[in-house]
Amino acid sequence: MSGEWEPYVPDADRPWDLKRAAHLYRRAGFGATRAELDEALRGTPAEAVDRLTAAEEDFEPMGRTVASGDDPRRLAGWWLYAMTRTRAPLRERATLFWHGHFATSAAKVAVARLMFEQNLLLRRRALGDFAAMVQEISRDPAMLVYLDSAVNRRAHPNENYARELMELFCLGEGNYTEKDIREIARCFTGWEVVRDRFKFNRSHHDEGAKSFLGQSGRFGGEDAVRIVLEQPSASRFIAARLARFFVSDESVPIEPLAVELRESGWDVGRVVGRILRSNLFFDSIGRKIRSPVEMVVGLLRALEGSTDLQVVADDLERLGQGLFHPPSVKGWDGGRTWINSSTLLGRANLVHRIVTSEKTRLGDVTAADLEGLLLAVPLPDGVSLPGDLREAVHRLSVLPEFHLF
Amino acid sequence: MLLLLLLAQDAARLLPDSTLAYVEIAEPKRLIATIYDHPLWGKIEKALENEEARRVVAALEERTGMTYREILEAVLDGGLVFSAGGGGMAWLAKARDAETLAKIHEALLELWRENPGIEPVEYRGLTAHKVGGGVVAVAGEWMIVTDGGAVGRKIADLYVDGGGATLADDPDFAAAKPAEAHTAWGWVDVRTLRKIGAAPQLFGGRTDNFLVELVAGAVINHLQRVPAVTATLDVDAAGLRLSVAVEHEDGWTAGPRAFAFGAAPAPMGVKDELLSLSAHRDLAAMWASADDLFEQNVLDGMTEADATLTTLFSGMDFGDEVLTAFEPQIRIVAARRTFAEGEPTPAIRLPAFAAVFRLREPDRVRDDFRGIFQSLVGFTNIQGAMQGAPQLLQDIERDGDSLILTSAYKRPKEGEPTIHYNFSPSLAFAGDRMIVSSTTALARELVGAGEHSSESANTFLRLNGAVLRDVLADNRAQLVVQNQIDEGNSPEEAAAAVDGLLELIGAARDATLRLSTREKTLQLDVEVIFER
Repeated sequence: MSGEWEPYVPDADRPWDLKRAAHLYRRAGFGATRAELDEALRGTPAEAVDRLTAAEEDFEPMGRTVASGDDPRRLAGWWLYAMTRTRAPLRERATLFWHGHFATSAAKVAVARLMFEQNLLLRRRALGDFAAMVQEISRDPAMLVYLDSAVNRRAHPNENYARELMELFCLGEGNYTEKDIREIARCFTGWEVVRDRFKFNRSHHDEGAKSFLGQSGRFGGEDAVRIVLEQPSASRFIAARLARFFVSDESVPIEPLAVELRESGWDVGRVVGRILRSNLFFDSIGRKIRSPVEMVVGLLRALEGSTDLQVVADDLERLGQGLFHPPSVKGWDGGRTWINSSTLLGRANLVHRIVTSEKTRLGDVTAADLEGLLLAVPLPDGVSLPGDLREAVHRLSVLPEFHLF
Repeated sequence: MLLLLLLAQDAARLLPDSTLAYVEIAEPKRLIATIYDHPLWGKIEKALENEEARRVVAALEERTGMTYREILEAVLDGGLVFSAGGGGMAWLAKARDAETLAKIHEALLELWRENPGIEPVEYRGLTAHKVGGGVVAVAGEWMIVTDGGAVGRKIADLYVDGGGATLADDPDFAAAKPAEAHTAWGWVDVRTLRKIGAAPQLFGGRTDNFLVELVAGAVINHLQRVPAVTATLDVDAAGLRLSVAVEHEDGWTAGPRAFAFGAAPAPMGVKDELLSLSAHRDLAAMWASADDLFEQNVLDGMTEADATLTTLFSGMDFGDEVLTAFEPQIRIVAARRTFAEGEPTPAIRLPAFAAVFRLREPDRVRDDFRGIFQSLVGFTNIQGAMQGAPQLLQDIERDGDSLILTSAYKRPKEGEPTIHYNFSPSLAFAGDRMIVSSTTALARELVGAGEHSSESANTFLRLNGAVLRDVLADNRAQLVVQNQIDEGNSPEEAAAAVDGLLELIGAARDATLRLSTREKTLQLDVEVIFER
């Protein structure tokens, strides 16, 4: 099975064609226009992946203007705008992944600026150093406020962040003990939020020796993060999460990815690049279910469309994926949980609202192009699409096949 | 709906006498010229157009060999009338000639036939077509569009028979027609509307909206008595003027709505004035007459508010002690907020605003209001502290007999100033004036402000278009980003849209609204003067 993570090499049975290029762009960047796919096909898969992993674009000034209005709802509209317009879609998709991983909700962190700063942090590190990201997120005011960890004193250590650091962010359940939580909580004493800013309050910090995860010493918060990430389960946990997000909801061998993550010094971009180049990735076409955000952004990107994104952001929240409003600290469960009879109808209704909105503009696309651009699996037998583009898009959206990618 | 409202001078002879509302534009061609020849029309047109409208216009122009403007001018040459009542709504346009109208009508029919659902209807030798929810007919020089109601057949009967009871025979309607020419004029038979029980909220005595009653109490009072409302509209390159008038008798100002009648104070001038409102409203009398003015749901709300406000005003009864402290002359002013160098400047810049009251007995109530203001600032600080908001610091300024209680947010030690920094709530006393202001600077200015000459009105509102444009321009970045998100535009498209809007707003140099009583008339005049 060692060839699964080896690079996909096109051959007669598995050519580098429109189907595979579209698959790459859907999983790596929500979706692609015909022009982007044609460009990808002029080169190799590896070159396409390189372009996706290297691309950057800056929507920060726009976001800062939105955040100054102090309405977290408007941030969701901004982020959708960035997702639909960016020339760095892989970075945005990765940011979405981390937003679900380090779940923080504006419903509790009511200050838009804090949510925005966290989003910038996630984007900055999305394809970078995971260890640095964890260090930074441990000091992120939005995260600490969300986990009720804005105050943490040596007399009464707050265990919330210590628990989530291991259970949800780095190790997963069963890879630590309650004693580890208590001891790590002591490391984070004095890590506080004052006037919406992180502050290390030395007088509240427990300077004593701590003992956890097999190590002892007068550790502080940075040490705690370092030691947690030294655990073998850490790289396996993150590798599994990345594999699930980019490849398949079903279990896949993750050890090669875990090794690469450790040996690269937690270089997420390198591991994601390996995933996207791999045989396993290109054999997983149509095996995942799109989240509501992935569905809408993919649709608009593929059709070079624009619309009222604030309305779409509000609709996405009603569909269960409100940006900046994950339902809990565990984020979104994803996978099959996205789909039931009620959500299928809701998704089709959302697509209908988009295509019939007066504010929606679509690019120079015909109904005949839709199957190649939007579907990961063939159109079912007996299903034909109307000639009108908007009607055809709506017709597609009621098919279960539309939600696979 | 591509067709504009058109008016025809003798259309009243085609409308049944049961017509309740009538609007006439006698010379649409002149109005079209004013609109099309305005330098900003190109931008307005671009902002309004959409794909479907462009397609229809292009098809019409191709089929008729005429430009869209020529089509409009030909169809509306003899005038345009809109009517309501008598069985529905109708638009009657008198064209330049029957032949041109027939050509344009045929082109429209061809377009409509591309969509299913168009259906011919024959009645008394006339052929009409059902299109969408309406009916369109051409008879000689007339194009008649109705909403599908019975009014269509009544118009056809009057056209074919050439006689019968028409609107033109109604003496009230005939008396209402203005002697001078205007761009447009209108008439509404309010007496009949009252009789048939239409709009009971408006004509029935009590309202269910406090703010509507406060603003329009005088108008509501008269609508319950007058036979009709008439209006005239004049539009030219310099601006537009709308006048709406009803009959007035001095005796009608007594009763529960007496609070709304009287002379407004003279407006006050401030630097960078955005808006100035002067009105005569006896708030204490209004509060006392609430049982006669409002529906139960409003009364319930007022009872609850009364209790809260009495607490807020340190136990002073809101209706009997707080409101009675004020004379009925009220002024509200808004001005563009400017920030001095070094002053914390928030990303979103809001205008400053203030209310100016006249106190009946200034010496008796001044200290009461001082205490209330200080309590409110303290309460705001406590609430703010719980939410991490900055704190207000209070101070006092004296200048001769005037006194200003000020509050200002502490300078932020770090980070960007939040939206709070638009405000420095202040309370000022100068003679018998009490000024409640969102900023200290505006309070200072109003303390020393003179009054413009009286406008002899009950209510006078002035809005400065250039300042409004500047206020919006102060927040241009926000507006552009909002446009990007809400319209899906690129940064360049959004900037162009916002800049276009700012230019349009700036084109209206001044807008005023005046409600006044003159002899036997209660009149509302709205005027917009365009920047040349």
